[in-house]
Amino acid sequence: MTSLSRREFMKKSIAATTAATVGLPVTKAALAQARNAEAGWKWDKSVCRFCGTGCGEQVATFEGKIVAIKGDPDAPVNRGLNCIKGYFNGRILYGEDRLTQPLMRMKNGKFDKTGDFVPVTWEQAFDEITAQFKRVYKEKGPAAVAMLTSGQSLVQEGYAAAKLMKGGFRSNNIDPNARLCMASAVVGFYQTFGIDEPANCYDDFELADITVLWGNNMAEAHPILWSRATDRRLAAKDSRIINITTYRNMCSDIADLEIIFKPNTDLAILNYIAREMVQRNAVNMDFVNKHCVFATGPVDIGYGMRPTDKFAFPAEKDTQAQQLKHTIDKYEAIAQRRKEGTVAETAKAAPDAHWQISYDEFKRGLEPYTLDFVAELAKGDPDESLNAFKNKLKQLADYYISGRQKNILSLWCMGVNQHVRGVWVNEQIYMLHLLLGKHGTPGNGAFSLTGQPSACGTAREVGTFSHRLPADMLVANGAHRARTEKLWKLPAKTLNPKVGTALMVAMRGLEDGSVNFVWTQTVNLFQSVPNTNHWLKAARDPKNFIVVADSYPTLSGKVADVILPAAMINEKWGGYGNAERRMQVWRQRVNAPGQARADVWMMLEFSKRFTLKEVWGELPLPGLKVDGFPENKMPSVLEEAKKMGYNEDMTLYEVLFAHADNKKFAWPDPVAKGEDNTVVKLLGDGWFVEKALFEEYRQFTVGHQHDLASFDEYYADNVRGLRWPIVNGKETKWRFSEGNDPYVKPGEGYNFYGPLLKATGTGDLDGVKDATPKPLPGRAKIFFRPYAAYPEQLSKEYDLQLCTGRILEHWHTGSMTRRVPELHRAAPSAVLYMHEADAQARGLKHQDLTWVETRRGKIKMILDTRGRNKVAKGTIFGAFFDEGVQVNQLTLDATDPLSLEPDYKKSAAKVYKA
Amino acid sequence: MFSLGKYDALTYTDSRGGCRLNYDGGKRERTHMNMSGILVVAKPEQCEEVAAALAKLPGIEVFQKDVESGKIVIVQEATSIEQEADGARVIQQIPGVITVNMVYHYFADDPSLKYPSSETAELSSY
Ligand code: SF4
Repeated sequence: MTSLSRREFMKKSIAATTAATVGLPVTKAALAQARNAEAGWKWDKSVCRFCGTGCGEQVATFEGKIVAIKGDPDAPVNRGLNCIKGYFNGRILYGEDRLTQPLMRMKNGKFDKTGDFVPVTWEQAFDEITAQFKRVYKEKGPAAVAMLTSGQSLVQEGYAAAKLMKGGFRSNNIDPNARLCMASAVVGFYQTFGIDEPANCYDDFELADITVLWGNNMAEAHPILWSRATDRRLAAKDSRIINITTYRNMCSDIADLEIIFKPNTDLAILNYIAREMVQRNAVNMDFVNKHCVFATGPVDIGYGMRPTDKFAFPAEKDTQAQQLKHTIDKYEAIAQRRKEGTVAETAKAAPDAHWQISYDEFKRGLEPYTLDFVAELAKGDPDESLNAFKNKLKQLADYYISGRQKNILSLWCMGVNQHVRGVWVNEQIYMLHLLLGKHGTPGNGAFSLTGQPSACGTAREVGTFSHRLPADMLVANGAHRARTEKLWKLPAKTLNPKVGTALMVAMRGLEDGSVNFVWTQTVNLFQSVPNTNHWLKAARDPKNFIVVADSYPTLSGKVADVILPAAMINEKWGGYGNAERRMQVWRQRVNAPGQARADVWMMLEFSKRFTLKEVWGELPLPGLKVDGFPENKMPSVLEEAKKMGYNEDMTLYEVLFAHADNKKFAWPDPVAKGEDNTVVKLLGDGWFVEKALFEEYRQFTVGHQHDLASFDEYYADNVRGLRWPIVNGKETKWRFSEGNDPYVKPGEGYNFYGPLLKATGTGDLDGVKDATPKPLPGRAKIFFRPYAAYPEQLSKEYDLQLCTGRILEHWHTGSMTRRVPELHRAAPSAVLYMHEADAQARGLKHQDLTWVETRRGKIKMILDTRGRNKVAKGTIFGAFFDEGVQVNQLTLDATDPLSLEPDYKKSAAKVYKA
Repeated sequence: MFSLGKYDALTYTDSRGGCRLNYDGGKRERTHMNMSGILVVAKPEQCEEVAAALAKLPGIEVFQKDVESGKIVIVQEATSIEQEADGARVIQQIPGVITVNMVYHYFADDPSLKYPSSETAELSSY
């Protein structure tokens, strides 16, 4: 075949397969031709590695390479479709700059912090990493080392890293980048339901009559879910989509109602809707009385910044001071029923404290949130009239209160979570649905979406957070530690009861000297955390040692001491869990290039370099003060370990991983269907690592409301992931409601059985009146949370609100280089969206090169006043994906004080011509 | 020796799922064929216009359309993945387009498909 005819042939085949996949008519001959085009290929199921939607795909290999990817028509999530990001799934393995060798900073043949990167062997890399780890660990103990992982880590990788850190090194300093996107959602779940993860599922997209997006640009962040939502909108004439956002985005094109609000005023809008429910008698009192309690917590909780300005840049000090003292502004005064100008002190509050209140108190809290007040506070577009905005708010309330026969689905993601009061907003959205009694049933619910492909499955469910153990258990809970020690066969008191460093705390630790060793996996933290100028410098401090395991060079790699080349998705066995509790798996299909290796192998190899006596003896742990533990240290558990049959010269590899139970899972295994397993081959001792670790992890889940199916069940040909809890072979679509959730007994109707935080004191809006814990079994909490301002308000100097986020076009440079070729490479710059009028006022025009400056740094960006993200006056928007444009040098590292998740969306900035 | 000094031109995978393959786009990938089967969903009443606009785009061939549902099947051909993603973005901005969904992506390194250089130039001129 000539080149041209082969191309035509391929094209026709692809068209036929595409049409067939999406259900359009295709002739038999065309399909047969399509099959011919794929002669010799091997197709198998896999999962998209990009977002939390969790689209299923089919991956074709031919002669040891991936040659094609298609949306899996049998995958219920995406039914054959992928979004544009799907393009990258296959080719991402074959970028020219894949890391294929360990690299270490060297001078004169030895590691040197000031040296250049030189390729080294794995052995050399491990020797140096181990020596550095032991240096820090011996001197300062488990609190000075940290492992920072990812919501893109595979389930088994997360499990191995968590077990090694917590069970082996007795350090809770493991935290995922999911801290940066989902932590607020998690605390919202814990406080409201006592258990993590959504009650709803994607089936609701076709069942909802009204879909409300709360600060969630689904069209770009979750495109396939968006296509399900828009399909529904087009198919069901009476259905509606409402887009509540701080700037006009693509979702507005289809939305029936668009509400542009000022940052942080979502808190007030939600209370307005709740107030309307009360006023219009729309509260489902029967449901509320049977299944809920009302609750609230302290108001002055700060902004998750450090309580000292010792490390702040001079320009940062005024913002930093807000952490300790905040002056109540005129809107907060009304919203919180206090006097304008009051100085609120935050130092003493326990942000996560909360207590039960009466329904009357709850109503009293809502009282100030009238339409007039909220409209004036929340209107986000200066060009919109107050009346028009009021009408929109009223419509929004009407939609929520549109009666029993209408199904309503509320959706959110980063916009709510990356928010200095993100936990509160999560809780308020549950508030609306609980007041209506519309949650966790077909088509009805408050559904927290997720950004990363396994933020749910790995980071949250396996528990790679500094406060968590597998299956929703907590390190601070003695019974949970005991259960974990039993399943992991560890001596009692091996596990550390003190919550470890959350991600932001670990970064700050590098700067303040409390953390000296950091290993990152599948995460580019020195680009993705806010306020990076601090941490970039700290990484290069001679006392600190940074290991970056990744597949491509990143900014984090640039400031590392050792770079380890990591295998990627289809180069290893693994699984991801998406936002609807669906765990999905794939096989290793191709070999990783060069010496790139799977993260799980790195963890296991590393564990071979530690004997029990190095880690299970007495260890310093400054600040430890917990019943049953000595002060400021972890006790030796070596004697106990000996009684259990261990000896102190055994390695962590033997004790934690290659133990007899795991070795029962032998490789090869028929489930492989002829595919390879590089991890097993490299370890060389014949056990099926990924299967054994999965089955070990699964024991935590079964019978504990998180039941996973067996490894082999997920690999069955007809399975495209299963939604847990999976009881008696049946998956669960909706949790907590009778008939849907196997943990709810007949006659209960609902049971919010989540076990955490299920007894609190009681009080009123102002505080606890009776601290005696009052149990609330089977009930969810309806929180009253007041409006609160964000810390860095606009000033004369910094007069624009900088919001950051992700947008599609910033992933690749084609669009950018085409627009401004002369700037390519010379000054690689991403786009800053600004309103035309704001640009004019500064003497700027579309495509000008500008400086964007905050108290923390300044960067160059190209102005865009015509993009499809149409910001309101006073707001600017910059994406953080461009490595040439470090937007996070600008962002404030304030966090939600409960979740410690940063708020990337509200930094005060100024913009001027470069 | 590998150097991270020349950082600007390096490829990376970022922490949240984004990725960049390389800055030069397709220039290094002459024998690389990227062909994608794409489902464009248009507002049904604008289906014909959208299909007509699609047909005018370089590297894109319209194969099938269903006016009732607004579904249009196209095959896009490009010399690099950036170009493809970029093309998809152009499609997204055609008035009347609701969603652009990738269904099938073929990207073999196939020497038999070597592009004559003139063709490369044409294909990269989005
Ligand atoms: S919607 Fe998310 S999971 Fe689906 S193809 Fe796009 S990036 Fe991948």
